[in-house]
Amino acid sequence: MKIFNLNVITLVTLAMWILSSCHKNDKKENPQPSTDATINFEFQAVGDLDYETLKLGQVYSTSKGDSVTFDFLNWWVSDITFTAEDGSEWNEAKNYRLLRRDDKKERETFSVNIPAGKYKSVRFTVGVDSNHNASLDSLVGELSPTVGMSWTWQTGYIFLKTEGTFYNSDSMAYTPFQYHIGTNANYKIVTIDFPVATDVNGGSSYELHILLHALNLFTDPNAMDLKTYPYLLVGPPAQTAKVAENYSQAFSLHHFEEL
Amino acid sequence: MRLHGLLGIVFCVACSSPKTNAPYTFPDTPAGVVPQSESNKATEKGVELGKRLFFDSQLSSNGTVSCQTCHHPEKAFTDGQSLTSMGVSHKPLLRHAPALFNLAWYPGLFWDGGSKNLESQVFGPLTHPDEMGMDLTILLKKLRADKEYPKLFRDAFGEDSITTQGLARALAQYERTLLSFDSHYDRVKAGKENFTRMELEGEKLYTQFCASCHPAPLFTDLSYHANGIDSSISDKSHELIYWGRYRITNDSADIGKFKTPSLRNVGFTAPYMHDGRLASLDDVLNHYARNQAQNPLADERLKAGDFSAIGVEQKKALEAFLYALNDSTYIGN
Ligand code: HEC
Ligand code: HEC
Repeated sequence: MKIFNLNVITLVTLAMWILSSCHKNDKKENPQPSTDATINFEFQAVGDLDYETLKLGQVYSTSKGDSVTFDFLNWWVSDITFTAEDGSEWNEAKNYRLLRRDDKKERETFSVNIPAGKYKSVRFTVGVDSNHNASLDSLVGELSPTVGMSWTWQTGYIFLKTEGTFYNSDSMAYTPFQYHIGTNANYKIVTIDFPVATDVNGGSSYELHILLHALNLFTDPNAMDLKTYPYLLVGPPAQTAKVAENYSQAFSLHHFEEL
Repeated sequence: MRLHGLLGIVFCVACSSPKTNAPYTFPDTPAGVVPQSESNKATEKGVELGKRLFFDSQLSSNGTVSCQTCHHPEKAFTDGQSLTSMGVSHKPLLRHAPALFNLAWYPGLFWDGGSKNLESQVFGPLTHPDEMGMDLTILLKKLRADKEYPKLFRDAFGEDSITTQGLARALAQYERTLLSFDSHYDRVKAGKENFTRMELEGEKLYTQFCASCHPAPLFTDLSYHANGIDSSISDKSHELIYWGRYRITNDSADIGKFKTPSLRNVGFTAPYMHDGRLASLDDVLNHYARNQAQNPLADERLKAGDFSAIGVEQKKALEAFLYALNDSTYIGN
């Protein structure tokens, strides 16, 4: 079978080469030195200070007066898209990255190569699109049932997962909270506008540093009631929708600069 | 001509080397073509591998539990227990292990339909601490280090490395081949055997009282209903596991609804219902004979109360019809 497949591939390649060689002349008239630029992404979860990574186990006060600590904060990022000044877009091929702030990871970095151009914004999604969220057997990017970011009793990926404690005024002690947010309704697109359209030159490298304001998960725009709903595990949907709206607005640009 | 024929044979021999992995041929069924997953069409080697995995207790954390532990072929792939404690922790599960057959038709798996396909479902029992309790990363290491699995996975999926994808797909392929359509009922419908008078009488009652939720040929409508076994549910623990379909849809109309089980092989699959609370078919018929008019959670169809008026003889007839749905070839007899 393998040999047979190879033959087909060889034939197709040959055919494509023959076909493309017919167009060679047209192409030569338009010499495009299209080297890509490298964008080094850095995602950093932060607490109350923009320059300090979220500290695990440390007590933070939210703007709504809750005291919380985090054990970890994990989320999926996919569908990275850069929009140029003229409105044209560059999309990364389907890829799913699991970003973590846990006892092993301070911050997440990865790079993508994009064509040179003048870009005004970048867009990405938090979560996994409905297509890939419908089954746990497609292993695109880091998608996998081994990474602890999926449910089996209700098929689907956990888009954002964070656990920790909050000060519970009833028991006068720190008690656990768990937010495991997913389901297609909570798939969110995040757009980050650059302060000015930025020239990205072929062959150069850029740093794109994005912050996730962890405390905003509880506050903006929706104030979460930790005492009534400490455990959001898949549902209830009215509560998870609030957290999802919060995470869709919890990212901000730290800087986008040539290295 | 001759030379061509010879060349043809040489060519065929070359491509049907032992590595060939032909598509699996499903039989025709009274329910039509067996549905398959677009991204996971069954192959001979895939099904064979899935079968081996299904019966292999190496897939559990302590090496003692396989899928078969709770899904025995001789019991139409259920286990004869209401809430088994045969998992690795020996803690009783919260739901009854359903029989496994004709699975390919279900749009949702588990008693509340929360699992969307067989490929995703397998990770449930594999990782559940009270079922097989397996860490998937360790399982992959184990399978990769095995003497035979790497070759079997390569033959089935052409991949050099064993992945959770291949594992799930092989098990799902095997499960789709678990078909049961050879009961006395099927033979009667095919004109090969005849119903007794009792069975005929029972079929009429069945059509009148049961077929709306358990229709032929699958003997389930593949949907979710509240069949009146509970009149209120208050325990919210375990992510609302006792609330049935509601925990998936969050629609209050779905409180207490569970997946309609197929009634094929019903003589082999006691005890009954999602928590195995009814021990015998007698108990089941007595349950359906109860007046549900005052039960806020019961389906409207059960409220007419006509079924409660049926006599002992009619119950026997209905039971005879239900036993005609047993497929003894399926349980290996
Ligand atoms: C310890 C017992 C146990 C083991 C081991 C086990 N199961 Fe199950 N199985 C169950 C129970 C209980 C349910 C019902 C769970 C529910 O509905 O919430 C179930 C449900 C299922 C279903 C859904 C059927 C339907 O009609 O919805 C499938 C399919 C299944 N199991 C396949 C498997 C496979 C494959 C394995 C091995 C990888 C396996 N099971 C191992 C107990 C077990
Ligand atoms: C309104 C729909 C509905 C009607 C009508 C209905 N059933 Fe059911 N039946 C169900 C549902 C739903 C279940 C599963 C309930 C649960 O597990 O909680 C079920 C479960 C069963 C079971 C248990 C099967 C198993 O494997 O656990 C049997 C047996 C059964 N029904 C027989 C009958 C008979 C006989 C009739 C006619 C007298 C009938 N049903 C009428 C919906 C219905």
